[in-house]
Amino acid sequence: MTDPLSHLVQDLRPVVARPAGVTAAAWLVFAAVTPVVLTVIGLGLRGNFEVIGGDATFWMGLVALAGVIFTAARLGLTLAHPGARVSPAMRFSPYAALVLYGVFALMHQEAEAAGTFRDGLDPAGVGCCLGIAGLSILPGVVLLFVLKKLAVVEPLAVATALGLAMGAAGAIGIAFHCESSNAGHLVVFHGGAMVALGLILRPFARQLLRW
Amino acid sequence: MGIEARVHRDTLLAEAMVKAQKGDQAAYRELLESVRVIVNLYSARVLKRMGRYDPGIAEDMTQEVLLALHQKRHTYDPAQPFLPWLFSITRYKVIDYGRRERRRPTHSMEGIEEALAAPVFSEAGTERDLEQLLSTLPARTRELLEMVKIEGLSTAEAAARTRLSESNVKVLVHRALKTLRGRAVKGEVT
Repeated sequence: MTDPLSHLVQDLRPVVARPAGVTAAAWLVFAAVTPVVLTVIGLGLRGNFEVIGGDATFWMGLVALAGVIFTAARLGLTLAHPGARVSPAMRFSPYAALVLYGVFALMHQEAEAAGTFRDGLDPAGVGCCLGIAGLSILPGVVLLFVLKKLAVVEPLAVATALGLAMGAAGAIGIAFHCESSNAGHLVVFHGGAMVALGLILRPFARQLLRW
Repeated sequence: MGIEARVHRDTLLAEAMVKAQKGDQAAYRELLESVRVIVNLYSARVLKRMGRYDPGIAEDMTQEVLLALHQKRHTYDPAQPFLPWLFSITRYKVIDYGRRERRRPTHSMEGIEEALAAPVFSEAGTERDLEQLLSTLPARTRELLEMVKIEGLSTAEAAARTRLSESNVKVLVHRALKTLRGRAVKGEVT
């Protein structure tokens, strides 16, 4: 009877271990650019971009979203390496970036005199949630593909991180179409869409990330 | 065995893993042989906690873990210790095995998550089990195994110390690991 170890030994090929941060940075570029391109081509650039584009608080919000993308992706990718040490700071970092996004949204509202927080809670804002979900699909599928090549041992945490990361990618895209500068709208419908995607993926975590 | 020896053992396994990641088949075989014993012990302990010890099931679990280790060896970060990586994979695959087998009428794996709620390998427990296993070997074989697998000597160095040929040392170490694995599977530790 052949020793089962021999099959494994004979099948051995060199492999390259890539640090989670490097992969997350590469995915950040793809996740940030692709939704913007799709938005501009598919939905059209927001009509007031010439005005908003000169507002630093608009770009600060995008930087915060890029922060959510990178920290959530890095967390998910790190957790996909068994035995990896993940500090509380790393686990909390995507939520810290989300809070920063909320702060910059308030600053943006102030800068653009876009009413009060409550003014932005029009249910029509759900359209942005759907747009974010749609734009998040391609970056989400790519990141999921990368995660499945690794070894996820904490599927719930990784699924939440995946949802946040892909949601933030969608939110970056929709920011170039949605004309609202109201913090209520941005926090509830854009930020809320990111959180919702993280929660929606949780029940499917084990099946999605199984290996 | 003190902390230094445990760290040394982890270092040896980590070095073998790094060589294996580069395609070194000899180092990989040695690594797999050592890992097989460790995982067999782990699986046996989990099953005993559940009151369902079966050497066949322990061996099935071990083979699943070894296959997972092989398929996911690119996820090992050389800058990190080896054993936490191994035990994380082992725990995941053992739970996964238990969940799959729960659906089958032949193997009842109820309670596997509870069995893994407490650490399976406490430091003292691990050393006691390994000492027990090693004590079942003849003195010379035990000495050789300790030189090569714990102290980290090469087979040439161990051969020089014991005045045996290198090929003889390799055969004795290989047989010793096979014996230990068989005894761990049969549960010849408490």
